[in-house]
Amino acid sequence: MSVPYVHTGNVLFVGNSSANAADNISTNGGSADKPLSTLIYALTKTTANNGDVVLLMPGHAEDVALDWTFTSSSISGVKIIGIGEGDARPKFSYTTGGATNFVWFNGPSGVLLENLRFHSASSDPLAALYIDGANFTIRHCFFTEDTSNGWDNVIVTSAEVANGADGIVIEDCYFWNPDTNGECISVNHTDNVTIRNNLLMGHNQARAIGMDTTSSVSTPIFILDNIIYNAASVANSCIRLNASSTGFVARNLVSNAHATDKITATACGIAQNFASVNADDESGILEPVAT
Amino acid sequence: MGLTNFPNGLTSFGVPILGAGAVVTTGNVFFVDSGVGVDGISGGSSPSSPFATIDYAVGRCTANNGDFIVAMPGHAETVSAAGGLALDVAGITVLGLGSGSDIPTVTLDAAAADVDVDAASVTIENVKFVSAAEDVAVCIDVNADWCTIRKCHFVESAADRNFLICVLAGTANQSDHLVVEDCHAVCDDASNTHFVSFPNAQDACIVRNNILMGDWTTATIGAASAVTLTAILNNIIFNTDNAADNCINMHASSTGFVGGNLVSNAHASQKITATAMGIAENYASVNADDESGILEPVAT
Repeated sequence: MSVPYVHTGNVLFVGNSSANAADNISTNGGSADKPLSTLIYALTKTTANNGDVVLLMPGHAEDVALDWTFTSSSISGVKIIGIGEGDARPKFSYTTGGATNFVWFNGPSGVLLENLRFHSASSDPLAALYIDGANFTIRHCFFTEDTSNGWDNVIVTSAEVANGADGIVIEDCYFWNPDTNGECISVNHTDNVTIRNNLLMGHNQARAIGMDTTSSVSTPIFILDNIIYNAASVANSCIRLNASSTGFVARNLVSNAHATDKITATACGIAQNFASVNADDESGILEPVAT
Repeated sequence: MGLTNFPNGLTSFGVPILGAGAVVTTGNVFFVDSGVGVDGISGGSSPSSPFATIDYAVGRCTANNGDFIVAMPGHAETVSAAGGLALDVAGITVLGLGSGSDIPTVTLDAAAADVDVDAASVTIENVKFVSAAEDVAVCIDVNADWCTIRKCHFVESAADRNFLICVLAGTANQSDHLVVEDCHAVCDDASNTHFVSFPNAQDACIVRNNILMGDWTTATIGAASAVTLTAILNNIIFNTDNAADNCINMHASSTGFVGGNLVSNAHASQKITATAMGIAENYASVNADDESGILEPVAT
C-alpha cells in the first residue's frame, strides 16, 4: 500500500478506533494521535480546491445509516485516502438497507476516493456511491457485502443529474458481490468515463458494467482491462452500453452463465475482449465475434 | 499548518510528508535486524536500535493499528518449529527492505517448521523464505482472513531442502480474501506438491502476477475443495512435473476467473482445469517441443 501524494493543503486525520478521537477541529484532526471521529465531520472542515487530504486511519469504521449526502462545494478537490490493508482498511458499513441507504456526492467535484471499503451489511442498500460530481476518481476501493445482503446497484454515475459525473475514473477496484445485485457499475448519462483494471466477482442480474440502454449515452466511455465473473445467466450481463455510446471496450476478460452474449457496445471500438461460459471448462472466445 | 507526527518516522513542519517510501502508516513502526538487533522492550523504534527477530516484534504490535515491522536489509531469521514464527496480531505488515541478496530471509530448518498467520489482515511483503530441511510440509500456513503475501520469494537452499507447499490456505473459510501476488518461487524438488494449496473451501481469494518455477506434482495452484469468487490471473508457471492438469487445477465447483496465465509442464496436453470458472486467454506449452503455447483449455 502506498499513498504517494505530496500536498500543500491541509491534512485531516480520521480514526475512530483511537481513544483520543473526537469531532472537534480545535483540538483534533491535525495528527494521528488526536484524530477526528467521522468522515462526515471531516468533510465539513475542508477547503475547496486547496489540495486537502482526509486520511482515514487503519481500523477506522463507520456505519452508514440512511443516506449521507454531500453537497458542499468545499469538498471539491479533496483526496479521501484510507490507510491499511485487509479488514483493517477503513470501512463504511451500510446498516439499514433499502432505497434510503446510500452515500451521495451531489455537487462537489474533483474528489479522490482511494483505498476505502464499502460494505453492505443490510438488505439491498440503494448504492454504495451515487456520484453527481464532475471528475471523480475512485481508485483501489473495495465493494463487498454480507453473503445475503447485496446492493441494488453498487456505483451509480450521474445518478440524479444527467452528465453530473462527467470525467469519472473508476480504476483498480475490487467488487465482491455474491448476492444477487442489479448493476455493479451503473453508468447513467455520463461523458468522459474511464473504467479500467477492476476485478468484478459477483452476481449482477442486470449487468456488471452497464447503463440504461434506452436513455443513457456516454461519449466517450472507455472500458479497459477489467476481469468480470458474473454468476447470472442473462444475455449481455457482463458489459452493455447504449447503442449510441462511443469510445472503446477492450481487453476485458468476462464470463457469465449465459450461453452466448456477454458484451454489447454497438458504436464503440471493440477489440480483444474474451468471454467464456462459467460451466464448461473451455477458454473464452473473442466477444463479440469478429467478421 | 502545524506539526505532523509520524511515530518513529517523519516529522515535518510546513508541507506534510505522507510516509517515507514503502512505509505509509499512522501506526507504530518497529525495526528488525538480526545483525545488530536486541530483543528487548526498549528497542525497536529506530533503525539504530532494532529488535533481533520478527517474532519478538510481533509481540510489540497493537492489533488493527496499522503497525509495521520493517525487516532491514540482510536480516536473517530461522524458524525451527511448527508456528515458530506466529503472525498473530491483526492488521500488521511485515515489510522487508532490500533487494537481491539483501532481501530479509526467513529460513525453515525442520520439516515441521512453519510460519503461521493466525490473525486477520496480516501482510507479508518482500521477504525471502528459504527451505533448509527435507520436505518442509508448509512454509506459510494461513488460517486467518484477509492475508496478503506480496513480492515474496520462495527458494530451496540445496537439493532435498524443499517446501512441499509454499502457501497453504488452511482451515475452511478462515483464509477468505487471501491474496498472493507478485511472488517468485524456484522450487525444484520432485516431492513438492503445490505453490498455493486450497485443500478446503475458501472465498474471494486472488493469486496473480506470480512467477513460479519448479516441480509441483499435484498442482502449482490447486484447490481440492471449492473456492468461490476467486481469481487466478496473469501467473507464469513452469512446472517440470509430467502430470495432467498440474499447472492450475481448481475444484469443479470453484467459481471466479482464471485468466491471462502462461503455463507449461511436461505433460502432452492438459494444464488447466477450472470447470465452473470463467476462463480466458491462458496459454500453455509443453516443456520439450520448442513450440509456442496454445489456448488452454481449448475454446469451442
